[in-house]
Formats: sequence, structure tokens, C-alpha cells
Amino acid sequence: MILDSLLPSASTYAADINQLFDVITLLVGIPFLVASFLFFSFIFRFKAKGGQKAMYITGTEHQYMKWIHRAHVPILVFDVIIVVMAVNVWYRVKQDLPEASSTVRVIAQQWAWSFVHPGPDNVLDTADDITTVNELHVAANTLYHYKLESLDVLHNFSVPVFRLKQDAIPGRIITGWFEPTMTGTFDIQCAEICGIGHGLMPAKIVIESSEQHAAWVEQNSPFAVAALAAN
Amino acid sequence: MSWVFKRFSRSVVSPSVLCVFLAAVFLAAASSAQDGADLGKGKALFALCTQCHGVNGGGNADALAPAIAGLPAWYIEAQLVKFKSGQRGLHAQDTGGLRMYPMSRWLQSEEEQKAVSAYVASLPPVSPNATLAQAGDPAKGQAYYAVCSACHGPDGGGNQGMGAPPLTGLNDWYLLSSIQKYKKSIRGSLPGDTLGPAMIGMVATLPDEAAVLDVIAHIQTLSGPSSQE
Repeated sequence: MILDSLLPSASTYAADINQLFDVITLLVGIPFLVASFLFFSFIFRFKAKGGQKAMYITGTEHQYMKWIHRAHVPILVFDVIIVVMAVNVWYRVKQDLPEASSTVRVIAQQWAWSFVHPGPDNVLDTADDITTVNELHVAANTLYHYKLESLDVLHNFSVPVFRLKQDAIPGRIITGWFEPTMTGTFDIQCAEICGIGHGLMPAKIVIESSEQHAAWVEQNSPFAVAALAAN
Repeated sequence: MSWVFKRFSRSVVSPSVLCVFLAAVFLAAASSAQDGADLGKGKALFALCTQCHGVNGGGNADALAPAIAGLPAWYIEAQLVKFKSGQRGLHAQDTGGLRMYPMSRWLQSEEEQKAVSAYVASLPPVSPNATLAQAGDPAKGQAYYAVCSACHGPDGGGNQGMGAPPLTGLNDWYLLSSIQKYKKSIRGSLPGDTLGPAMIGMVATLPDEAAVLDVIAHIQTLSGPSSQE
């Protein structure tokens, strides 16, 4: 509701993140507004008046403490709600790894992204792989695994329209997944401070229809490029 | 000002000559001020570059940043344009180039590119230390260098007309990595790079790793001062 109005949702799990975001915003935001209203109302209502002496309260008496203790109850209930929902979403997005139709390699380095796409054989790490810099091509309605690695320091593979963020850690290959649900060109960004060029390493994700993506793969496979150069 | 004219009227200098002299002084001062403003702006912009290239432009091998101090402004500017447009550096295996690509985009205008290029050119050239574990044979390298000298000059001083930069004052590791990148078409093969393909052809005349080290060793012996303009 809130996130969706600001940014398109382009993955199968974006709606789960949106819902979690909405719940947290409401559970935290409404009490915050109520507390702020009461705080400033009391300041205004009980401001200093002539001929009225201020009362000193230590705050340890039950009649005053109960307003603190009663507030703890909804806070604990809200915490439980948030934790249960967050664990469910975490499991679906991060722990579960559905079977993929294709796999891409995502390589982060100071200060650029490299993407290795499987070629026409749809198998990664073969001779027909397509490597691009700062531009990832995927097909809509296709479940992808990504293999994320970093060549130097900590980075974070962030695709806001997918609601996806994943740290890239030097020395590790981290496998995750996404399934795009709409076509279009959207931002990829690094969400981990990675040096002086951190803010200057944006990339694009191009989500195409299956037909468009197949055509792109065909045109950009190393064999097709070599044949074109030879003619 | 009238007393000046009267004073000089009594001397051997006529008022007209004095006017020409004052105009020349004014123009020279204005020109100098303009250069100073550009260099000042270039120095301010260079602050970002110092993170990798160092305050004196002496380079930093750990950051894959070569020495650039004293390189000609035309070459620096041309490389900034190449990096910014993706003609250089935007290759998945060009680690150093991929660092420069976003940095070049920091410069917003042609004026800023010229200013920082002028400032880099104004820095005193450095003499990088030898860093390669295995040194080549400069005598053997001289024969290989014959091909390079057609564009880079017999003294390694470069040739702006050919788009060939000076080779003197460059780090040996940078020369090695550049030649290796050209050999693997990591550099020089990107769309729009008109000079790069020529270098890919030129480095093909170096048959093996030993030849590469030899020609680098020879380049280190070159002086090249006459062409550092």
C-alpha cells in the first residue's frame, strides 16, 4: 500500500515485503503519532499558570507507573506480530530456494556490477555465456537463481522494485532467487558503503518478455557477436 | 593617470607606445588570472582523484591507480572523455578501468574536464620506482620498441597528432597491465574507441611475456623530455 504507491513491485515476493512494511509502519507509526499528540497536548495544557504551584512527582507510585506498564502490553504484542510476520517473509525470500529456470552470476566490485548471463544453452559457465557491465537482462515470469560474489570489499546487491537486498561478501558465493513479474527497466544499486565511488555505481535491470529476452540472448551470445564481426 | 602620461611624454617613450605596453600588461595579467582560475578549479576537482592517484599524482599500485603527474593535458582529457563515454574501462575484466568509469562521471562538464586535466599536467612529473619482480632486458626491448616508436616517438615522448601519449614517467606495473589488457582485448575493444584497436594490433608484435618485459625495460630507459608538451 505505502511502498507500492512510491515504487512499482516487480517480483513475486515484493507484495510480502510491502505488507510487512505496511504493518510495521502502522504498528509503530500510529502509537508514535498518538504519543506525540499527547506529549505536546500535555505540555500546552499543563503549562505554567499564575498562582498555581507545580507538583513534584517521582514517578514510582503505582497510579503513575500504570500508564507506563499498560503501554508495554501493546508493545510486546506488536513485537510478536512483527517478528512472526518477518520470520515468515524471511523464510520465503531468503531461506527457501525454489527451483530455478535460469541462473545469472552477479559480480560486484569497486565500482561497477558485472553480470554473466547463460547463453542460448541456458547453462551458466559455458562458452556461450554473455557478460555485461552495469546491465542485467532477465525475462519476466521466469524464476532466476543469482550467484552473488564480490571481488574486493563488501557490497550489497539491491533491486528496489524487487524489494531485494543481499550483501556481497568477498570470498563467498551467495545464492538467492527472484522472479520478475513485469517488464521494464529499473535501478540496481549498491546498498553497502564500499568506498569513495559507492554512490557512482548504479546499474540497470532490463526485464523483457520471454520472446524479447530470447532474442537478446541470441543476438548477444559470443558466437553471434563473432559471426557478426567476421561478416 | 595624467601625471604618468606627462612624465612619459617628457621621456623617450611616447603615449601611444605606453598605451600599447599597458594593454599588453593588462591582457597578460588577465590571461594569467584565467589560467590561475582554471588551475584552482582543477586543483579543487583533483581532490577526488587524490584518493587513489595521490596528492602529487604519483599513483598507487594497490589502488590500481597509475602515476599521472605531468602527463599532457590533451591526453588526460581524452582519457576522461573515453572513461566517461564507456570507450575505456567498461569491460568486466578491467578492474582498474571500472574504478575510473564512475570517477570520470563525477566531472560534470567539459570545462571541469579541461580544468582537472590542466592541473594534472601542471604537476611535476614523478619517477616511479621499479616494482616488477622480473625485470626485462632493455637491449632486447629496443628492437621491439621500434614498432612503438612510430607513434610514441623514439624518446617515448608521445605524439599528440597520433593520439599517442608519452610513455616515460609511467609505472612499470601500469605499462605491463596495459599491454596485457590490450593483448586480451580488455582495453581497446570497446565500441567507439578508435585508437584502441590500433594498440591491440601493435601489442600483437610482442610474441611472449619476456618480450613484454623487455620492451617495458627499454621504455624505462627513455628520457622523452622534448615531447612532454
